[in-house]
Amino acid sequence: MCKECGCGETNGNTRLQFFVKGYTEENAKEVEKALLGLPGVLFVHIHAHDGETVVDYAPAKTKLMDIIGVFSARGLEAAL
Amino acid sequence: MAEIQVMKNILGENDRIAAENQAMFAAKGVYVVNLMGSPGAGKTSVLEKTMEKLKDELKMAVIEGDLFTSKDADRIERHGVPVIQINTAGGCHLDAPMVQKVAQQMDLDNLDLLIVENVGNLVCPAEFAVGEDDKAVVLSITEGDDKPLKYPLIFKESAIAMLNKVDILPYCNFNMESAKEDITTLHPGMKVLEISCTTGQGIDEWCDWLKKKVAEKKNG
Amino acid sequence: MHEMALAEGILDIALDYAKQNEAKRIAEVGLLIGEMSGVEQESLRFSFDMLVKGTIAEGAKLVIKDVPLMGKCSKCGKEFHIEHYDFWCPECKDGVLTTISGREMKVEYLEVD
Repeated sequence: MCKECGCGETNGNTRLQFFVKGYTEENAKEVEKALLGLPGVLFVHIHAHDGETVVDYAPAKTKLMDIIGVFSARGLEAAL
Repeated sequence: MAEIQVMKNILGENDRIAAENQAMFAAKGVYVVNLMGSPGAGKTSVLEKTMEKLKDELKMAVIEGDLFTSKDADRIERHGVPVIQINTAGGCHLDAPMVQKVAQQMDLDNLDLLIVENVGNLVCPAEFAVGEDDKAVVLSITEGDDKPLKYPLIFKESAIAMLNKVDILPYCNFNMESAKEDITTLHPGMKVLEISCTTGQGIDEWCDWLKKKVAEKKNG
Repeated sequence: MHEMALAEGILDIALDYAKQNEAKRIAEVGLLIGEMSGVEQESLRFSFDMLVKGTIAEGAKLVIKDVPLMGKCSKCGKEFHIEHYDFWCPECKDGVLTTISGREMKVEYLEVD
């Protein structure tokens, strides 16, 4: 995890890039909050206008299914 | 049917030792907090205020972690609370083996509360369990309201966050609303306290939280 | 202690070694669990039994060997069973007991087909 001092596990984190259809300024903010609230999710960046969504997360703590679930619960279509 | 020799450790080394520590503290009924935060956030000051309030009510001890010097342990000692200093001599976080070595030589039978003050660092300590019951993070408002999102792991892992130095809030650019919102976004339901070690604000609430945790641990 | 996390670790190791040895079924998993490791065995068995369903380890028997917590005094060299996490030598008073066994948490062997 810590590249500087070399301590921690050799980065167990994954970065995902989704393209999401159906964002509005409002629901994009909501999605961001909902994703960040998942235990293993560390960073989220959403471009509401083109649907580009980046998620950094630890698969050991949060399943991909749970992340996808955040989109589908709001009727949004997410493609990797 | 064939037998395959394996002889492989189930857990990573640090996790295994942290689990041993947890079992040891549980057997002795000691509630353990891993106190983390940036250098200068106010961890040792929080400890000093805690000891003022609680040392007559609870049997406390402290394990101090720093790269060098015993400055923090000296401050704790002045309050008459047993303290042991661990110097990592360059290591940026305390780990389970370090805490185990020290804890095995403490009188845990007569202890209610053990606070481990970790090395000042918002990054690495969150990755290394030392056998604690809960982690606590101190963030001073002078560090900036953007820090929670920048250091998500430590806020997700901690049971409680203390936003320190609120007495100088008028002189800082710290947006309390947005900082608290970010923290609860990262960790829904997390307990967040506004505190000041200078004025004493919020210290009672922190101490009440500790007392409750100690009581819960004792009742198994 | 997260016995489920332990069960996952055990299953990972078992499946890995089974694959390396081209085994079709895992009948038994032998563990070495030290006294100091703080593992709640019933909870571990429960988690393990749930986790192995649908894998080649389904129905596998978990055999646990308990290893007692033994320490050797740095001063007098005698060996003692460490009671109540007390790491001071009962005879020398100043001697520290270094653990020589009882801290294991390993998968020892697999019985496979």
